[in-house]
Amino acid sequence: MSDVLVHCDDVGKKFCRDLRTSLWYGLRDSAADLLRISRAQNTLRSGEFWANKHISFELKRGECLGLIGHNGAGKTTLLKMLNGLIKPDTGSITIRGRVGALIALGAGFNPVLTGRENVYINSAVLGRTRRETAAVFDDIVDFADIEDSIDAPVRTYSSGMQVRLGFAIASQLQPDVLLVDEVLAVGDNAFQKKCYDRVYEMKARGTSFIVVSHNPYQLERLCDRVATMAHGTILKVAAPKEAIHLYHSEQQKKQSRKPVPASLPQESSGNVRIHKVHLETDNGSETKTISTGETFSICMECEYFEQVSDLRFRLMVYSMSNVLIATIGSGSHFETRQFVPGRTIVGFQLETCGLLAGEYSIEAVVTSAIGLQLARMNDAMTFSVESHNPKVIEQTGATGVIFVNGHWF
Amino acid sequence: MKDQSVLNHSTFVADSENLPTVHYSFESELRRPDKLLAVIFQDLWKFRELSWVLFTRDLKAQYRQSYLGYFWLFAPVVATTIIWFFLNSSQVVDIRETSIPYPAYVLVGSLIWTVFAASVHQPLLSFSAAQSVLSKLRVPPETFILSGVGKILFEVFIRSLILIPVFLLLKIPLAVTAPLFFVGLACTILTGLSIGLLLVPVGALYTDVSRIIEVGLGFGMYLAPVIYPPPVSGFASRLVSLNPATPLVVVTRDWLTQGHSPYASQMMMISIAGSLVLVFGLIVFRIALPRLIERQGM
Repeated sequence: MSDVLVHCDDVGKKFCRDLRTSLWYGLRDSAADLLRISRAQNTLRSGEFWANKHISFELKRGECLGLIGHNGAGKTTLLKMLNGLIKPDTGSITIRGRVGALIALGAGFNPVLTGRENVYINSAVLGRTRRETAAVFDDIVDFADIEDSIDAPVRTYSSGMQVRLGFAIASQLQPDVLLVDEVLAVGDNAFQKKCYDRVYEMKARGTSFIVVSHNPYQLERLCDRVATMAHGTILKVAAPKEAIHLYHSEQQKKQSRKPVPASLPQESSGNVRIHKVHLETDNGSETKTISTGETFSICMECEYFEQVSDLRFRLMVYSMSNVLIATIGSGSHFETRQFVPGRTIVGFQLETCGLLAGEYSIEAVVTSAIGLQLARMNDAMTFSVESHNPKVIEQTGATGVIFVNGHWF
Repeated sequence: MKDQSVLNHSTFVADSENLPTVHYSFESELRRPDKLLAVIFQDLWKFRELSWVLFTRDLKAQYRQSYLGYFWLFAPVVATTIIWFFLNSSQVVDIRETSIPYPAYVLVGSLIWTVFAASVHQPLLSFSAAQSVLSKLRVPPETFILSGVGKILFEVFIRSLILIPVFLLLKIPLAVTAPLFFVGLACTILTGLSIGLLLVPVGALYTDVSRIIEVGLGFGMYLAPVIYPPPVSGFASRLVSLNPATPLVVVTRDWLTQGHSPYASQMMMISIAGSLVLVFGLIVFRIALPRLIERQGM
């Protein structure tokens, strides 16, 4: 028990969608607090909904818990309660140690004042004295990499520079528990790497983290456990991979509830039209789910309105965070083939599926030999990959996107 | 790093590792108002440097974008004086003879009134300006109010400087009690703040409050002996004496120029009431803060 820093016990928080009613409840709740008659509010008043409900978890020293969930799932609300900005309506939160927050980078920045002045202001907002700030001032400027413009007004900074400066200031603190809300993906790649290094450093020194992110790879890298949130509740706290998979399947459930548009958005030059893209298993049946290591084909059904030849087909596979994983181009393979008016299927067979469990999407393009785009379908289809043999993957600790086939010697 | 401040709706428990422990729940933190008050003042002390930094930030930012700078502090007071001097001397209005030359009378009066009005306005202004920070980071909210008080003090000091040439020019002698002028100003600020702070919890939710303050202060100025001496009889006399700002304005002005004031005891009572309301306002503000933040949205 002694190394548990955060203990959340059946925490709930209600919000109200209608502004007027919400303000009225705010006034009433304040009055109830003042008259000391506030009670645990287990029932919803008219117009209210649970922004957080039945949230329970523990966080130990040095541990990193990720929070993932769709927009409005209640992640930020939970962080605000953990930060003590708003009160839970039910349950309780106990936190041991100093709490820091990598939220609202650059809070209190005044655009007219110089970067130097703003370092001291932001630092003071975070609770540091002038002397303490002066001691780390050079480190801050160095980390943010803005030596040249530190004496220019902050409003002349690019947004990236402002965020870098904000991160540099906030990350100088060494709290016991650090709350992070979507701020690790700031700046360019080089700066992101610096951010990660800083976070790892803090983690190694015993800081516990609660990280909100939409980026699965970030969570996978940082977190020991990830809580998948939906509609204000924690669906499950699990290993990052599993939690992220759950998040994606929730996302898909949500998407599949929406009616499919009659014609998918696509660009077409007029003589070729991509009709549909689908996956086929080894035995020829259509599927939306494949396993790592399996053989499968990506099929592209196109309609031709006149006779065309020398077409180039291109399939692009994206991860759910929209990172391009692979481009499969036909090159000059169909150089001599004549496509007659009507529908025809071209396909590409993958010997082994090298993707790890997760959700992926495909973009399809047809161009002429000289690269002129004839048809394009951006979100042609999404599919999911399941772990073929979860045991093996778990044992080898395979995370990421690609399954690497090989052996140690 | 300093210890995390202990804001309300949290209880402070020491533990074996000497880590501060906070506990958040639905329960009201008003079980021990004296303790809460102690926490508020501890926080203010702990974050005193922040109040100072915020004060200088706003000051610098305000004047860095301006050529005329401090002139804008004098402008409204001087304008009021000139208008009323003109109206009075051209006998558009007929104002009873004042104890000191009329321009100086109006100047001192509107100076005190400006301080009072600014003190009523400031808490809500400070809170609105701080909202974006307060809704994301844990900072004692009173530091922002305190830096606002700093702004009022600074402005009244600069504005008071205009009295020097005017008093010299009009050859008005200062009373022996003149140093008490600053005590009078302090009481004025305190009373104004107490009203303003008490209005923050409702004012942060409903914009009607800032409208009411605006209209109320507009009325209040003419219901206080700012540009005319206190009426001695009739309905007007009763109306003016009901205005809590009346003793503040009259006594502060009298201390500067007369030495004694018939309103001194009333002023004492108002200042004592103001201090009590201020303390009450601090508690109310702290208790209401999380409710105000949660209704602000993300």
